[in-house]
Amino acid sequence: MPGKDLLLKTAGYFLQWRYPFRLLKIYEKWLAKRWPVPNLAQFSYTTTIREIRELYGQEKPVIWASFFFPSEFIHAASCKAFYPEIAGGLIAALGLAHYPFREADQNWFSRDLCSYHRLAVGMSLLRFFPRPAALLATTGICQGTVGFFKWLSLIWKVPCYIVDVPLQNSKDAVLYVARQLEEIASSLSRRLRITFAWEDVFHLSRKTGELIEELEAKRRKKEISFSPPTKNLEYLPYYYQFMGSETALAFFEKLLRESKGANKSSCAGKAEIIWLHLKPYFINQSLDSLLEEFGFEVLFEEFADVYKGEYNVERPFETLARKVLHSLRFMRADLRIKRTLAWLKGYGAQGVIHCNQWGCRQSQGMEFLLRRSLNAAGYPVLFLDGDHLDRNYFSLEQLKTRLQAFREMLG
Amino acid sequence: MVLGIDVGSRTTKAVLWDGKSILAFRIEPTGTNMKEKASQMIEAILKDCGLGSDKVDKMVATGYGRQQVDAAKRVSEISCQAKAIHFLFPKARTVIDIGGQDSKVILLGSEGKVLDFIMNDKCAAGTGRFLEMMAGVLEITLEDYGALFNLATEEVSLSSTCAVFAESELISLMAGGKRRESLARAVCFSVAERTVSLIERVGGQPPFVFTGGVAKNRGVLQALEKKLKTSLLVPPYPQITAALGACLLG
Repeated sequence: MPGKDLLLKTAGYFLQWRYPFRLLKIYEKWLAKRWPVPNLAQFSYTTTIREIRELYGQEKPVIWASFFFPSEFIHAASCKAFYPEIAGGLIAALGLAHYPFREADQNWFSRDLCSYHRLAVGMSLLRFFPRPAALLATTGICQGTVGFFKWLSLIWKVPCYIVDVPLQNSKDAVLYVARQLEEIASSLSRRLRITFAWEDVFHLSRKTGELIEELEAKRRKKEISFSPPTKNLEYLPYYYQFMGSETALAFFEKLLRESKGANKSSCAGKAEIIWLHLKPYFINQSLDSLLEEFGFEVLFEEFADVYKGEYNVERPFETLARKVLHSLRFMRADLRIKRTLAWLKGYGAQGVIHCNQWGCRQSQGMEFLLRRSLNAAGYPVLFLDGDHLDRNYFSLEQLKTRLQAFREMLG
Repeated sequence: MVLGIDVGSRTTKAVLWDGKSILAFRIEPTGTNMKEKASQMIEAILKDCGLGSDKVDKMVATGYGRQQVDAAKRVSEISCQAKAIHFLFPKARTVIDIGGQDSKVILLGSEGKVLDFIMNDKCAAGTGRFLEMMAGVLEITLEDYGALFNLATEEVSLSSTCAVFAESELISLMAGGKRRESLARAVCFSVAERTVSLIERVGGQPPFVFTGGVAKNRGVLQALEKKLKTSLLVPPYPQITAALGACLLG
C-alpha cells in the first residue's frame, strides 16, 4: 500500500533526527520527581525512556552487538550498547513485528531465516533502529549471526567486527579470543576516538553477578518465584545489554528487594520445570496464562545462566574472552545437556520445556541429543515448535494441547 | 453415567459410558460452530438412549475444541487416547493417532500412563487433511484409497513434504502419465513416511495401535504396516477412542 509505505518511510526519517529525542530529558526529570524512589516497574519504565533518548539522541556513539558479545566491552568505551536481537523481542511484544518482517520479505530475506535476524534487518531497512557507529558480533552461538551482521553492516554502511569463537574452551582459546577483542578495541579507538576504562565496569559486573547469584540461591530454595512464570525472560536486557552498568546493578537490587517482600506462590501441585531457549514474545499473555492455567512453575531459565567467572582489570581482554567462551554452554550439545541436568537437580525440577525457534538450526539440531540424554536420566522434555517473534509460524491451539498433555504427563 | 465428547478439527465424537460399556456414540462433522455442535451432539446422544441430562453424572471434554464445551473436566486428547487404548489393548505400547489436522504418536507405560508424545509440526502433511486434498486432485473419495492401493502396479514416490507442493507434484505426475492407483498408493506412503518419522523420533515400540479418522483408511494402514514391518491394531471405531478415554478419565 503506497500510503502506508510513505508513512513508514517518513517515520524512519524522523527517527533518525537526534535532537527531538534529547528533549526526553525533561520528561525524565519530571519522572524522577514523581518517583523519587521508583519501584521495579517504574525503574524499568524510566530506563526505557532514558535508553530511547540516549540511543536515538546519539549523545554517545551507539555500538550494536550480537547477543553473546560482552556488553562490558561497550560500556568500558563509554558507548551506548544496543542489542538488535533483544530489541526484537520488545518490537514483537509491542505487536509491531509485521512491519519489519514485510520489509525484510520485500528485500529477499528468506522466511526460513531466524526471525530475530529478519526483524532486525527489517527494522534497519526501515531506519527504525538507532543508527550504529560500529557493529560487533561473535560466531557464538550461531553462524547465522555472521551473515546477519554483515548485512547490517551493508545497510548502515558501518564497520562490522566479528569474533571467531572456537569450539573448545582452553587456555589457547582464551588467548585467541582475547587477541581478537584487543584488535577490535584498538581499531575502534582509532576510528571512534574512544578509550577503554575497565575498572568501574568490571566492578559493576562483579557486584551484579553476586546479586544474580543471591537471587538464584533463593530460587533454588524456592523462597521466591517469578510471576507470571516466564517473566524473567523479559528481563534479558539487564542480564546482557546492561551488564557492567549502574542500570543492571540497580535493577537486580530492586528485583531482589521486591522479591524478598513478595509471597512465593505455593509450588504445591504445580509442575516445576526448567525453561530452555527464549519464549514467544508476541503471545506473552496467552503463554503465561496457559502456563498458570495448567499449573507450571518455571524454576530457572537457560538464558539467565550468565558468566560467573572473575573480572580481572589487569587482563581485561582475557576476562572478556572467558565470558565469550561461556556461550559454548549454549552452543555445544554436550555442555548444554550437562548443565541442564545440573539445573534439574539443583532446582529440584521435574522436567524441561524447550521452546523452539523457527529457523534456529543451532538449537533444533541438538534436539534429539538433548531429549535422549534427559529422558535417559528420567526427565521428560517437551519441545514446543513455533517462533518467538513471527506469529505466522505459531499455532496457539497446538501449543495448548502440548502444554496440557505435558502437564498431565508430569502428573 | 459419563459423557465423553471429543471436539476435533474435522469431526466431533460423543460417547456415553455407563461405567462398564459404551451405551451409544455419535460421529458428526464439527462445522464452524464448535460450541453449538457440542451441545447438539450431547442432546442427540442422550435422545438416542432416551435419557435426560440429569442422568449424566459427569461430562469430560477433549479435542481441539474442548474449551468450547461446558464440561466438568477438560483433558488433552493425548491423555484420553492413552487411557482408552490401555483399556482396549492393555499390552499396547504405542498409539499412532492421525486426525483431521494433526498426527500424534504416544508412548504408553503401565496403566496407560503417557511416557512421552510427539505431534506433527505446523504442516498439514501426514494428516487427514492432506489425504483429502490429494483425493481432490486425484478425483477419488477417501474410501477409494484402500482399493486403489492394492491395484497399483508401479512404484511411485512423492518427494514433497509440503501439502501444497505435493499437490503440484501429483498434478505433474498425472501429466507425465502415471496411473491414478499408483499415485493414490504414493499418497498413502507419503503419510506413512511422515508418521514413521514421528514414531522413530519418539522411540515407538510395538504393539502399535492406530486410531483417528485416518485409521479407517485401508491404504494408509497397509502403507504403515509395510513401513513398520508389523501389523497394527485398529479399534473397531478408531475415531471415538479419545471420547471413550474422556469417559474413562471422568
